[in-house]
Amino acid sequence: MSELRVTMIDCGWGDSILLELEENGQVHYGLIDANIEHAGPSPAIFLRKFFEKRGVNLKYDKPVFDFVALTHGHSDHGKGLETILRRYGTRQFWYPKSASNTSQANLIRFARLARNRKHVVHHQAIDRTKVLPNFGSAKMEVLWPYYDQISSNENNNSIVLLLLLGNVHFLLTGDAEGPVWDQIATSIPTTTTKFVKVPHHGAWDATVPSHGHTPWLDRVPGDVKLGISSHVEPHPHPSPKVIQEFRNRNLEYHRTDEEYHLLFATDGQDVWAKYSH
Amino acid sequence: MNEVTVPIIVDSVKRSKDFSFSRCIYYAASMEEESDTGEIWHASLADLDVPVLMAGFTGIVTRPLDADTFETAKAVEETFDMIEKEDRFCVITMDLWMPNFMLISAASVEEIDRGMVFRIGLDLFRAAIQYSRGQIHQQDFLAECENHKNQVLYSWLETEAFQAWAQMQVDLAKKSYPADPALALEWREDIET
Repeated sequence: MSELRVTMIDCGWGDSILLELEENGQVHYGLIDANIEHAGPSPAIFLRKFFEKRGVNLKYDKPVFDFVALTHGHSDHGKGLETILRRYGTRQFWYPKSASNTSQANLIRFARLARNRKHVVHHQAIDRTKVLPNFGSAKMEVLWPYYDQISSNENNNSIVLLLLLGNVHFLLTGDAEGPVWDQIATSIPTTTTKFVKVPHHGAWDATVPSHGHTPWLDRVPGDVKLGISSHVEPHPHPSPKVIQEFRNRNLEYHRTDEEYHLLFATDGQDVWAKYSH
Repeated sequence: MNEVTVPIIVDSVKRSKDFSFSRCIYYAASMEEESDTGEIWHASLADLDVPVLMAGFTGIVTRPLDADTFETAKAVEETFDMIEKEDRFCVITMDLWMPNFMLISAASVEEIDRGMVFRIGLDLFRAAIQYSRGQIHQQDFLAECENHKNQVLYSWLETEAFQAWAQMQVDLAKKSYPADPALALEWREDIET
């Protein structure tokens, strides 16, 4: 039996999402984003303890990750990925195209240098035109961005991923905002999307675009589980109005600023959530 | 302004009523492991020359080796190559928050754009780091900003240099594609480009 586990690591600000797919005695690992802060919770510490517990030997088991993805070029999603790539290594490193590459340039440089081939076996920019390899037996699909559609709003260059294991879809959204959801919401399977990483930390304009509708929220079933990578300082996310919207619809949601690390798992039929606090 | 300045690059501009700050990145030389050869480093602190065994290191990149500012993409790349000459060193990205009014004033513009490069003096840099790490409150940080208003300079030359360097990374990545042909992603047949 296969089990997909998605852990939203509490990193204080930004996103870091660990994926595991366990089946037939083997485990596949993936990582989406990282934000290593000097002060506060750190995905680096979480990952170190996580892999120590699982007996991963970095001398022999590198690359540890099947894939590492940077959703978009903001530093609260990419800061620290150089460190993680050096420590654990990855077969694939994916990133989006950007109008202004400065923030992610150092990561692209790290990936392209021949001397770092031992840390990053292959890397490329991805979009909806690319076929992603399976993650174990889970299928992965890029819903956004479209080919060569690059926004001046870096949040709207976020890679949006849809994973499928058995009969269950998991939606991972980066910081994609309203204009993205207006274009791709119809790609979200309505009855089988059982977990959504709430886009842009629960910001209002990522759930309710300027026209007042709720494109992605209207597509998900009533038993969906929502994970919010939230923070209080220096300015708070999620928007209280977004939380109220979830409550109005009786949707189950979990937030990292209250429950710390959040785990969402599925065996392809059922979905369950666990959290640290 | 102190002699040493730190180049920071605008990463994300927040413009809400309650929070008008820009997150800016800067680069650092990082060494995670202790110096495995047992060599002793010397840290200069005022008049003291302190011999230390380095166990991890993070050094903020302030300028290239032979100039005060990064004038070209080549200067950025060569500086980073020099830092990473030894495998144990790696250039990493770090960030801090700066109030928009400081950057707008320094650049004499109406809006701050992603990718703009500023140089900030050490007093302001320290205060920004403390604020970003939650060590001082916002009002104390803003007070420090008022006290050190002259420690922000817009660096248009470095804005162009870093943007060119960023584009250079994309161009070089494309040139060396695919790193591993067996792992290169295929095109979807059901989607037109």
